Amino acid sequence: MTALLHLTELSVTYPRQAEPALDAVSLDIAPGEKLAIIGESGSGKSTLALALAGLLPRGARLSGNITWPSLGRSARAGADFGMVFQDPGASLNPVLRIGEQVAEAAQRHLGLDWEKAGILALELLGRVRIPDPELAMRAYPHQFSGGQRQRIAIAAAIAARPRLLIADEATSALDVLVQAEIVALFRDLCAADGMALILITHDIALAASLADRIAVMHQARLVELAPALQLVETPQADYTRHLLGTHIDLTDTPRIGRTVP
Amino acid sequence: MNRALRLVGRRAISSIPVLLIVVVGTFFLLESASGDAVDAYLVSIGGGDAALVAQLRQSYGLDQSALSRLWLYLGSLLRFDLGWSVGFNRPIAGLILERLPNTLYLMGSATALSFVFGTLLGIVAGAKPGSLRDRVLSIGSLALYAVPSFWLGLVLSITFAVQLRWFPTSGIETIASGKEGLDRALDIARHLVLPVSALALIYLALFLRLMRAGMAEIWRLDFVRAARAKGLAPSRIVLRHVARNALLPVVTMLGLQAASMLGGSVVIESVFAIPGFGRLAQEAVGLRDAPLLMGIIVVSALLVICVNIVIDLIYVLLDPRVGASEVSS
Amino acid sequence: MSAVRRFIGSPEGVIGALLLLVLAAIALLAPLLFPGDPLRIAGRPLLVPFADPAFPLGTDRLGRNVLAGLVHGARASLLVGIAAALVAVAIGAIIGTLAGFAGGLVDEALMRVVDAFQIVPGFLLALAFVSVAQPTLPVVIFAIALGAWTGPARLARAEVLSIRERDYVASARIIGMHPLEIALREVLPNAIPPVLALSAVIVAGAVLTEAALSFLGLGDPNIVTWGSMIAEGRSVLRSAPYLSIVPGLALVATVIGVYLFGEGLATMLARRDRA
Repeated sequence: MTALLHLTELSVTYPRQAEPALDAVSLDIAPGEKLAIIGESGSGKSTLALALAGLLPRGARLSGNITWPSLGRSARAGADFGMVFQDPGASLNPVLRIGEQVAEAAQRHLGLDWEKAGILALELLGRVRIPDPELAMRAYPHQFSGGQRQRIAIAAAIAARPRLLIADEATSALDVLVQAEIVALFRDLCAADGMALILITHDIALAASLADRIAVMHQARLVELAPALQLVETPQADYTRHLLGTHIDLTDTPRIGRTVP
Repeated sequence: MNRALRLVGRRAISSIPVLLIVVVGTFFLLESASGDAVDAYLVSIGGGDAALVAQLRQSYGLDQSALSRLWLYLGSLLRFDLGWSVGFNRPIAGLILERLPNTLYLMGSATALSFVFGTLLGIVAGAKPGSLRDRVLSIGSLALYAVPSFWLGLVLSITFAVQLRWFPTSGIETIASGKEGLDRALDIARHLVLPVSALALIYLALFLRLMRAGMAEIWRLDFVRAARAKGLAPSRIVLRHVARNALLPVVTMLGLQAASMLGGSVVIESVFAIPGFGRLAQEAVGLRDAPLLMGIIVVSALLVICVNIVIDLIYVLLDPRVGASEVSS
Repeated sequence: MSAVRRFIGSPEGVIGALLLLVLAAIALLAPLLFPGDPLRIAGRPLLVPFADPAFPLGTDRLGRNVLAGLVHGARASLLVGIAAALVAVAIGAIIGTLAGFAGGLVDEALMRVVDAFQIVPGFLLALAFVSVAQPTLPVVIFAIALGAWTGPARLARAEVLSIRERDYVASARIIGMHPLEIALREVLPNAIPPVLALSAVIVAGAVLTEAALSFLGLGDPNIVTWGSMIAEGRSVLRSAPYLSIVPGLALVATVIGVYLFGEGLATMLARRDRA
């Protein structure tokens, strides 16, 4: 089967930094596959997402290759992949109506006029389970809760029916119940559309519950890549064992109602 | 729309004590002056005896105590009566109303032009922070903003009125031209080109810098990154996402600058001998006509309040977040 | 030391600082460079620039040395600019700190006064103030400061509001310091850096306002200022435009210097915050 996305020896160095933020990472993603990339902050997982999306800050040096074998060309942002970010409060434009923000990628990439793109946006808002989509179309981001905003951001990201959705810590700013709903939404959307998902997270339990495969990043390198179950049960790399160990410590206490230390 | 109306009402009511502070403060400031309009008048007619002085003082109410005159003044303000100008020997309200339109033309066109072109050029600069055109516009606007408006007016006048003779050097319209209707409007417009340019260019630089700085901030925000991840057309990202948000603080600044633009027009009116509101202020100073100066300050404060209420209304239209909580509650 | 290095890191700031240093040197050395009263008649009237080496920039309508006026005018511009900004920042910082610290009715009343000063055009206020008092240098300085103190007041108040809940203020209150003492000793110094960054804009505005006032003939008649030189040149604008143009260029250079210096300061503060 042709890979959707193929990374070879991908490295990124930010300006005025001696050490690379991403060091020679190679991996494949199959169409429809759900891949989780885990690691602590600074491990390079978000840099990987930004490099894939072509959103690296100016001056960052990128080497290696990103190819899309199943497309046979380079990918276009929005059309071939969509992206969801961590902070749902900040990733929507505060002064534009929800309808416009969900519709704009469809209008841009699917050759629809604004009216047709709006009809599609309405349908998408329903799919991500926003209550009363008609009203939501005309509303502004500040009128929604954090979880709802993240759903809207997801609807906007998948509006042009991309083959891949990149979720960069898309659930970590949300409380646990909302987090579970978003994870369920990802699962449903991928199953329904055959869309692949790259889930970037520091939460190994979340990764294991959703992903087909898990990639572990540590200090800019890919230290282990294995099917989710296998990685959790028989971790090969020391760092993966360490991650699993600290995670078990944390989850010993009930997760709901846990306060931030 | 309810949201907007409520806002106007609240702003108007909260302006009353502020306006009162202005009136009382100005009253006592001008009260502390040595010599009043009667003294100035006596100097101009070559002096007079004590009986004439007393009679004049009485006729203008200047023989009463300061507090009772302040009380009378506040009372007459409620009837839109600004008192009597000794220097011009006319009611002040009529005098101001006669001069105000010229200043409003000057200020209004300068504000509109500087805002429109300033924000547009700010978008051009801010669309690509750090690019060559950004640097050129940034440095250019910094230099322009450092130029005194009255001096720019003189330089424009030397170049375009004295040397090239494209525009008249002074006045608001050709005297006794007998022009009517559109001809007259065009004549006034021709007289206003240079003074409006002098005032507008300075504020254009300000709005350009504000817009550019605002955009530089917005580019760093998450929703812009999200817009880029959607693969939107660059023009849509720049205009609809970045510039649309950067416009908000610029609009706020427009309100804050209203008072300063009114002050700026005083000097510009002097350079181009435009019989406006600002020139009236200068004449009031020359004639030591405290009630006239008082009236000018009160009217300009009122004008600034009105401009700010209009700006608030525009802001409500531009930013859905403002006042939203009040509507739902 | 690192503050200096951060400042040098911004080219605008360095250019601005150099410009201001040159201007300050000129202003300080003016009595040595051109001794005597710059307003005295020195030669033939309306001498064009570069014609006579004794008067490199020529003479005005009354035969006064333009270069001497320009050099002495730098004193007035810089003095008024800096002094007015100092007065404005001092008034603003004190009132803003008081308002922020006192809260309640005092805060409300003081802020309405700030509003009142903001809706009256500062230039009209200065005009009125100078016309009431006599046009001497201190009066002009105070008149300009009257229209410029509200910005620092708002900023200082906002700073105080954000600082006053912090630990060290609370502990000062616990050890029994008087609120005013806390305001002056603990809060004010912390509120000063951002107010300083605003000062550059105020200095620039003050220089321009002083020029406009003396252009309208409301400056101190006994000292030469760039604004009065521009006004003086107006009567011969057609035959000798340079008389008005040259002092204007000096004004532009000064204000650009102040702005660039201010940008350098702002960059420095931004880097400090990031570090």
